[in-house]
Amino acid sequence: MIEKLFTLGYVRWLSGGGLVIAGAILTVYGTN
Amino acid sequence: MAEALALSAVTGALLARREKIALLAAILAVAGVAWSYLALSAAQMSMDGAAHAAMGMSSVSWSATMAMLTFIMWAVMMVAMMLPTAAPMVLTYAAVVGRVSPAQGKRSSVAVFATAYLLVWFGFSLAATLLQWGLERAAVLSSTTMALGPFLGGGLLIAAGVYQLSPLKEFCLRNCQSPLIFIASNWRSGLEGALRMGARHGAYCVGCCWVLMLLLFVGGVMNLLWVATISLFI
Repeated sequence: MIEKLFTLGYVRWLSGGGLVIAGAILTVYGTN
Repeated sequence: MAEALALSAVTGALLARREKIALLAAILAVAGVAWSYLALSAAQMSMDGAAHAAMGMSSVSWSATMAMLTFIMWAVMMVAMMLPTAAPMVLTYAAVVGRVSPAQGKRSSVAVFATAYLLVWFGFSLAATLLQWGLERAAVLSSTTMALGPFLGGGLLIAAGVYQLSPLKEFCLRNCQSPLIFIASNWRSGLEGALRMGARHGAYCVGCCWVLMLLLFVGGVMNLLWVATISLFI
């Protein structure tokens, strides 16, 4: 819903960046 | 061309209020049934998982019935998550088909459009079922929480983040975000046209969301809070 309603590009960039950071944290700290 | 011009004129109040409410209510009712099924399945799986853990069983063997139930679970989940998201497109299609092709049965056209859209998602459900089977077989997916471990889960999050920024995602999203532009540029008359348009919209939608859907393997496939979070974002 959020992605389709908010047509501004920054929603995609924010979510993309957020996912990459969350993935990095999970990979680094989750495996230690 | 004439049809496209007619479409461009349809920008105001597209559907009669009563029709709009009825169609929206039907979509939400189907999605509501799907969410109820998911809630019941999640509760059942939680009990089964606890029983398996108590018996010391680390994995569940896959039979044909199990595979079928898993596919149904994925398919119902896609209905619950994606049908409300498709509501603006379905409403717009219903409005346009009523104006551009009045002779064409509106109800049957809308039903075919929505069914074709969901059929594409059922194709994705089949792929997800096979993936789940493969992940469980490789012993990297918990059979109780149905979630990946931190390393693979983290990798999947990173992959999803990168895909969010890809040109393919941008292309698919652009075709999903504006129902009127999608319908104007992809208009086909008749029931076959409804089928093609519904399938095409489904394909764009799968193109937008397939990696985000795979994130269900990070938080747990039957973790309803996680399912709801992803569907809210999508």
